[in-house]
Amino acid sequence: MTPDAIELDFKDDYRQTKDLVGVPLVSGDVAELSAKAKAAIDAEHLLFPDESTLISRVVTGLLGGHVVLAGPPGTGKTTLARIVASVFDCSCRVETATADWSTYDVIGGLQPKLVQQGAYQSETIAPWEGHVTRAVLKCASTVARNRDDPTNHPRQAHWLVIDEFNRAEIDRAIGGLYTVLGGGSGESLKLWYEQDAKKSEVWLPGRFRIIGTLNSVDTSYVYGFSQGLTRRFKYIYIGVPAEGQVGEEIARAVTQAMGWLTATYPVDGDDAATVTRVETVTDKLAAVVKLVRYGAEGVPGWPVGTAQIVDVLREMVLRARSHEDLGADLDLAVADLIVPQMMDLTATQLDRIEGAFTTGPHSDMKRTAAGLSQLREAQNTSFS
Amino acid sequence: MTIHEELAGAWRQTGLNVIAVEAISGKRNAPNPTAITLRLNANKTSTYLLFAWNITHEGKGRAGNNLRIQATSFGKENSPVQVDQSVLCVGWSAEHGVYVGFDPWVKRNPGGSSSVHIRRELVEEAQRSGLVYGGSTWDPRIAFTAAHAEALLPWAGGLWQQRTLSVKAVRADFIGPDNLVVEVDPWSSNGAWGVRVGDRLGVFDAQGDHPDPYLWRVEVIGEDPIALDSGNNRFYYVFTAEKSAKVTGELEQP
Repeated sequence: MTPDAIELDFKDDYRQTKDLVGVPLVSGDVAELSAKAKAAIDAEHLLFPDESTLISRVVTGLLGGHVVLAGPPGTGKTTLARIVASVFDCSCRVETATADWSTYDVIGGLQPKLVQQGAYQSETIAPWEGHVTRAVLKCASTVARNRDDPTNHPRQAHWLVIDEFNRAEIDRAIGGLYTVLGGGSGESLKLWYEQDAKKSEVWLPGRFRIIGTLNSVDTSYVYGFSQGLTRRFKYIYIGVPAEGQVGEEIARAVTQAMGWLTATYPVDGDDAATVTRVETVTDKLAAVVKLVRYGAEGVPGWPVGTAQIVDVLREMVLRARSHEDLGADLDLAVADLIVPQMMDLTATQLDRIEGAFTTGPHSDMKRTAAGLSQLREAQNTSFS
Repeated sequence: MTIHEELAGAWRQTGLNVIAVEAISGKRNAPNPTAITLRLNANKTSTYLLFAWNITHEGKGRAGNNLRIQATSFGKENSPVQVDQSVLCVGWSAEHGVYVGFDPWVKRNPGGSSSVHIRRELVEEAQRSGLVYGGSTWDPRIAFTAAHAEALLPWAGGLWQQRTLSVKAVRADFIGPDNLVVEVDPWSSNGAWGVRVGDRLGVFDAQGDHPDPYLWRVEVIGEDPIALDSGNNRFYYVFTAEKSAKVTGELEQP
């Protein structure tokens, strides 16, 4: 006899996910959630443009449904997705979309499976749950356990973060999820590949969210979205920090880079001298970032993200342990880590930026100028 | 013909497409197990490993209400076969013209006995009606004549459906809020023989009181050897389980 019971794990029976459709997120307090998000962002030494507005847009977006964070590479979209999931007391899993994604990857399907019996081997076909289905089931389990025993299960839900959302042809890959994401009607997601009636459909818990991130600058290998799909997500743009924030952005980036260095390659004693040496080139780096990112007279801007600045500073802190004069090192790091990001610029744009590094205050950055020159020539000749 | 070949022939007669029958040993005098492959459709085949024995009388000194199968060459001591949905076990009573299927999982670890007991009336009823289900939830039987041979396959598949068993715990250790290691004496909690990974346990204390309000899904099955004063060697099952559901109704007594 099977006793009446409330499912907590949803490994063998998905039917009770229907009972979680009407269960909302625990709190709708925008001010409190936004304050927690701000504290978490500061704790990670991150900086976003128009930060308080951005945070409240993301928080209200998630209270209402699913969200896409769009913006240039390196602006902290995926990091922000993780942070807000944590602020909402939700676990999350990040999956990176690819051009190969189909409904098989998103929802699920059948896959061959070999069964070994001693020396004898036979083949069978077994169900495989896709990324969304797996996340929904984990969310259902998290919600059920949280409601049953919040003391031991403080996480209220589990969310799915789809990184590089537009690398997949998502309108095609999302299949039957399209209708379910429409929301409100209590539609189930049909799992055609499950032969067990107890697992043939699943409902999205009211606390389930998808956060997509997409790169709005490098559009070489991406797909667009239908208007219908766009309606199912709130789109929030995250740009690079404002010009007036660059000094603080770089100071926080130095803290991040030092955190990485001490955690990855610890040494005896403190690294105060390392920081002091790096600080001798931060003004120069700030000037380069402003030139590249916001443009100067006749020089177009390119939205280089904070992550690329952190990458440059990681090289700086590594070299600063054994170097005093970091000027040439900064030139190398910018040439290796920032310049290649500009490959989508036109030859004319590259020509103008290169000009800023061959004359004027940055003309000492010969490696950067050479890197820009190579990019420009590749654009002119179609060779790279 | 071996019992295995006879059963494969019966499947053919009922319309199943049997495409291969081959003793794993390659010898007809050592037919356990025999691999029987069915073609289900143009793209899919399914291979079963069939173990079969003759059904015999229980022997002198018994009341004669039961028949039995001596499932030699089965169980982990004798035949290191991983028992899964592909493994089928049947006995054959030539006297009644009846096959009897039993759950291979229950006999994977026979604890010293290879005997499978079958109620005589079950076999006799199958002889009359062609197909009968019997035994208990945790040690079930199917008895059938050749004309109903195809019924074995869905019955055997159904053995792997999730079931719930109430057990008396010899010992239970909670590991955090969601995991439990529970030891169960299968000699005093008979259903424990048939518990598979994926089944759920309702856990009572050693006196059979104070049920825990949760159902625990078995993830790993181990054994803890027990040396009895009598000199017999026995074991407790050690079920490592994960919290799976909260009971809102009544748990069946163990």
